Amino acid sequence: MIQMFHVSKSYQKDNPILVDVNLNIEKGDFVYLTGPSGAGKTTLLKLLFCEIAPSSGQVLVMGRNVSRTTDRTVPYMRRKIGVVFQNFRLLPNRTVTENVALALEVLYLPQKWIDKTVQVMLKRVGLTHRAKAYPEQLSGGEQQRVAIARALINDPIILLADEPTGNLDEETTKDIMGLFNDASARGTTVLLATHDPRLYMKTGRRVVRLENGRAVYDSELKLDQRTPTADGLILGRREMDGGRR
Amino acid sequence: MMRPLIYFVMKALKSIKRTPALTAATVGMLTVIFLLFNGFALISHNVSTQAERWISSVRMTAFLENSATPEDAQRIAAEFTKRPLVTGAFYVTQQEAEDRFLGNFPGSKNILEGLPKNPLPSSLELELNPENIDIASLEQLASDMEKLPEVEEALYGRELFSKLTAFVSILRLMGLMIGLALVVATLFLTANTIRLSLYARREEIGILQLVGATRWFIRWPYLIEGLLQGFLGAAFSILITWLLFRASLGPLADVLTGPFGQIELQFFDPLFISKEILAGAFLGTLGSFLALGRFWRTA
Repeated sequence: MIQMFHVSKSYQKDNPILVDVNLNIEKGDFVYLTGPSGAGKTTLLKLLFCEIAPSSGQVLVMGRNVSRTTDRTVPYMRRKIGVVFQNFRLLPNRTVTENVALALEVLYLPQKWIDKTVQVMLKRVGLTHRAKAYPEQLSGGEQQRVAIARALINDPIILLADEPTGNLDEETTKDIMGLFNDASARGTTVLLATHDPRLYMKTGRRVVRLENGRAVYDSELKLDQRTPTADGLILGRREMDGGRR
Repeated sequence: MMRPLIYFVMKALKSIKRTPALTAATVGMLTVIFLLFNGFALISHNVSTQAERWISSVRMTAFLENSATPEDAQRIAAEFTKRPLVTGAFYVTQQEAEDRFLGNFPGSKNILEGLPKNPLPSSLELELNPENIDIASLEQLASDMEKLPEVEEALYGRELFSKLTAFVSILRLMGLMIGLALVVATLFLTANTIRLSLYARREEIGILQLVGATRWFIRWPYLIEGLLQGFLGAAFSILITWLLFRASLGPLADVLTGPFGQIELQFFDPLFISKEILAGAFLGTLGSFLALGRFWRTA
């Protein structure tokens, strides 16, 4: 579903963001992308939803080479990819319903069908009672649920999330993670970037760690080139070995 | 096809609703620019119409030598009416010339009576085809006639004709320049308004792109917004021009009554009005398109 071959990305000379990253994610996988701030997690996600192109190497998403996409083809790819951000990225002057409906409007679908589908999706994320509210009237957790609803309403093949619980408390984080698990159970490939080890510890899911732009750890490949740091985020050998089962 | 169109029109209207002051300012400025154009076009149209009316009524008079006979005149008339410029020729005898003179200047009878014989020459009056009239062909015709031994002189009001045609040409050139200025100003204004609108909604456009909106999906509402601004600017200017035209007809009536009778002022015909409104809509759309092109390059 997602393949990266020797991918490097730099915006400025001598300052690479990603260095020789190799990654293979199969259909339906749930993978945590972890690493400290500035490790290159967001850049890697941007490559996957075609916001940027790699400086070198190949990125294949759903079998399509990202470097060969054009302005015309990118929108059609993005319709199969849901994206969730830490800061939610909701439109402040639109209601919850309108924000979620945005992803269906671009498909020129009939309004009745859009309304019905949005209702179903809001029920799924537990926001039916907030349908007419504006983002500023919602809590952080509710806003993130709207963003997830928007990302999932198209039944995407891939769901990318960039620190989706970064601004949320522990209880809300649990709820939000439940929605990602639910999407994964429905067959969506999920790649979730986070620096919070509490999210992926004991989940038994695959973890890929980036450090200084390099993939230094992959629980599935038994790759472990991590540098011992004091950030307290590095997993123990036992968790690494107990990766994806 | 209809559903997306309605959706885009609704989006454009919502956008206008969200920024009413900006839209009103743009439409207002476009109206003023079109008004300036209309003012010039209206004056130019009426002056040109009068000038062209005179130009198309030009006749050429070939004064014949005293030795020329009516047969000579008939022969010359037959020869020259073959030309596309000449539609008819009328022979005016010396007696008819005298009658006309006395008809126009009754007090001059004594002058003619004092002379030994009628000094007024016989002549050929040529009626000309207005569609073929221009200074070069008139000059050629006059020159050809004057080469004939029977013709003393061929006249058509050369100086006035030259001045009028030059004046009409200058008016047309000025119209063209003002038209070009209008095009540039309209493009500049709509492009700027749409650009401001685009930057204000940068986040929204980013999210639309994120969920898979094509560029055309994003473009259409802005193009429609530009079209509406251009359309409204042109339409309001026509309406105001018409109101001003109607209001000024009364006060101008006395001024426009000259020695040749009342000059009837004309407003733009429906075809011109349609063209101007369509041009406004087109320029507004083009302005939007240019703004979008720049936005994509810098976004």
